[in-house]
Amino acid sequence: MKTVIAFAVMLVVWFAYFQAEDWLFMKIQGLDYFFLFH
Amino acid sequence: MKAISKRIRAWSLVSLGAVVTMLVMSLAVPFFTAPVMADEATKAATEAAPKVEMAKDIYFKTEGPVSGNPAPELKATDYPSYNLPYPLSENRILIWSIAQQHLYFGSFVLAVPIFCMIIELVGLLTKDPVMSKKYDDLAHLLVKISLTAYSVTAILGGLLLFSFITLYPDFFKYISSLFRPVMHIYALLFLAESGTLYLYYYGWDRMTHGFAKWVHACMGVLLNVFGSVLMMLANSWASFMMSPAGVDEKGRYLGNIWAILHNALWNPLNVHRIIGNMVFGGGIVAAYAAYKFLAAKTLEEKAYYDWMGYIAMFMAVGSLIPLPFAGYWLMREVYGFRQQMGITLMGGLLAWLFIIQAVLIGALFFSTNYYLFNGMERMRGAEKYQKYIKYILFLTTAAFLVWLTPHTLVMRPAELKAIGGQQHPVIGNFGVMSAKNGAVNTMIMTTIISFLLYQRSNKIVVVKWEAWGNAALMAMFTVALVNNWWLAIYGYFIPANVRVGLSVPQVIGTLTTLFIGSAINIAMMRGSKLTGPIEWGKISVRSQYALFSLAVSFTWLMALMGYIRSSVRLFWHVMEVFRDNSPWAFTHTIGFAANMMSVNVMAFWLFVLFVFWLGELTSKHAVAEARKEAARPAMAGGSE
Repeated sequence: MKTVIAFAVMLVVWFAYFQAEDWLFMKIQGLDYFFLFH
Repeated sequence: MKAISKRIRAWSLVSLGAVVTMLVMSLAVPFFTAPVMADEATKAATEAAPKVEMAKDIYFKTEGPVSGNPAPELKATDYPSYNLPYPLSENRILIWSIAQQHLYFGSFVLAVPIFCMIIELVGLLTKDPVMSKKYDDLAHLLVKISLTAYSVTAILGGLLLFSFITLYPDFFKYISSLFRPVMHIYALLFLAESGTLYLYYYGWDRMTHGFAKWVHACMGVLLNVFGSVLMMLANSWASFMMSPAGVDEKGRYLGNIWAILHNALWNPLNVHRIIGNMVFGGGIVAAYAAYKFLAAKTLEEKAYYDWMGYIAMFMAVGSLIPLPFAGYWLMREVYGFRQQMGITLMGGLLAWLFIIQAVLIGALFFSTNYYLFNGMERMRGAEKYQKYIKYILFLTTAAFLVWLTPHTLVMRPAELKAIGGQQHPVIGNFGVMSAKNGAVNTMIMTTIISFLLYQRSNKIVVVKWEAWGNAALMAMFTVALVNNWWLAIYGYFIPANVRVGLSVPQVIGTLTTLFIGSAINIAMMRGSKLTGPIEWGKISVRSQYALFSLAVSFTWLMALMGYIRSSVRLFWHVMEVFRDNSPWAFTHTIGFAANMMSVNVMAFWLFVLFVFWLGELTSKHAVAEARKEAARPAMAGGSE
């Protein structure tokens, strides 16, 4: 059970991390990561 | 004893001083030549003060005084050729072969000192004296192998120079008039590199401890500084031919040597070639180790060469992981410089060759993963990870299939009909760069997973946070892969400029898994229990053939991409400035070009086998001497 909870928590953490990373490295290039969602 | 160490210390300082002098000497040359070149420009300007002609730089768009002759307009008769049977009647075939062999050996002798520098440093920092000596001996052996290759490189360089002068005299006169000071600096640096290499090799047994050893390691660094600068200077000639700068539209020099050197594709080519050299050098050394492993008679020899092959493969794959990113940057800059050039490469005349490239890159990743899976056999306790191999293989294969799917091909009508149009209705969608980026990043990530599993194969994790550590690793790779595929799919729905920008977060995401994944893995293995030592030499023979496959695939890849890079200029010696009017200024058929590449690869490997064999002769002699010495009866009352 502990493993499942740890995995679920980590999925959320990494999801947030990679989305932030995507946004940041598009921002650095002067591009809009959310281009399609406006 | 003290006197000896003092002497060694003094000797080390003299060596280092000599090397630093050589470095300063070659770096000082531009300061002497720059005023000369500037004097010529001002002389031209003052002599004809009222009518100094200014012209516009073809690339940087700046104004400059015209300081050279325009590029010559040649006729077919201006290319003196030998009356040899086809295809040797074409001068470019001779240049192609010689340049390719020179580049192979040059690449090898630039890569080996990089390994030596790293391995010697690892040996210096290793606390275990046995392992430290083992690393040091390996670095020494590598320099010995490269010493013969160094001479061969110089001989091939001379042959290439004479071939240019005799077969393309007008072209060479024009190029050397532009790069005059660069060519002299190149020659001086070559002298400095040779001097450093000989000091480095012959000083190895003299400078073994303490301060002297660190001086020796510093010489290894300087050797690489010389080697890298040498390569960058030579790269500027090739990149100038693709993306000229510093001249006007007639090809006249505008007095600024830096503009010529620093053309659009120079730095992307520098980065791509340095990393590529390291993969190539690692592949050759791994092939050497595999050859010695297969020929080894004792388990001890097998163990040593298995370990050597692993170290070389580790270096090669460590460089292979960032190589596609550097290649992507180079192609991005090619498109940036001239869009038509990029389209010729990837969507036109040379597109089939890019598909072959994709297959060969796939072969590199498959060979690497196969070697790592086989390498688990060296360790007891690896069984628990072997069940994951099939999933890694499935992901790698799926990514590989997307990676090699063509987009636009030159097809016959029957083929067009069979596929259902210019693009296949379903898998045709995988032909675009957005999908390729997703695929190659997937292949790189699966290779990283293989590596992390290999590292853990003979260890039992004991840290308290094991469940969280494993969850962090599994979740990271899951999210990173899904994020990578999401970015690849997202690219289909947005404009090109935003889509190209998505390649950056894709790369960063993959590098995140590499660095953070390795860091978590290493932290988890702290204080871990060993299920047993790594049993070097206990590995399947098949794995050694994977090392050969890695090395030969990469040699082929270099021949292929070298041809693509050169032939994209089509009928230009220097793109859009200096036209190639030779009778053979057409593009070869893909079949002919591929056969030429294979002949070059075969010739190179025969050459390499000769170099290995030479190394074998000296080591056999040394072993025989050592055995004779050991068998000699000790003298009664002698000092032994």
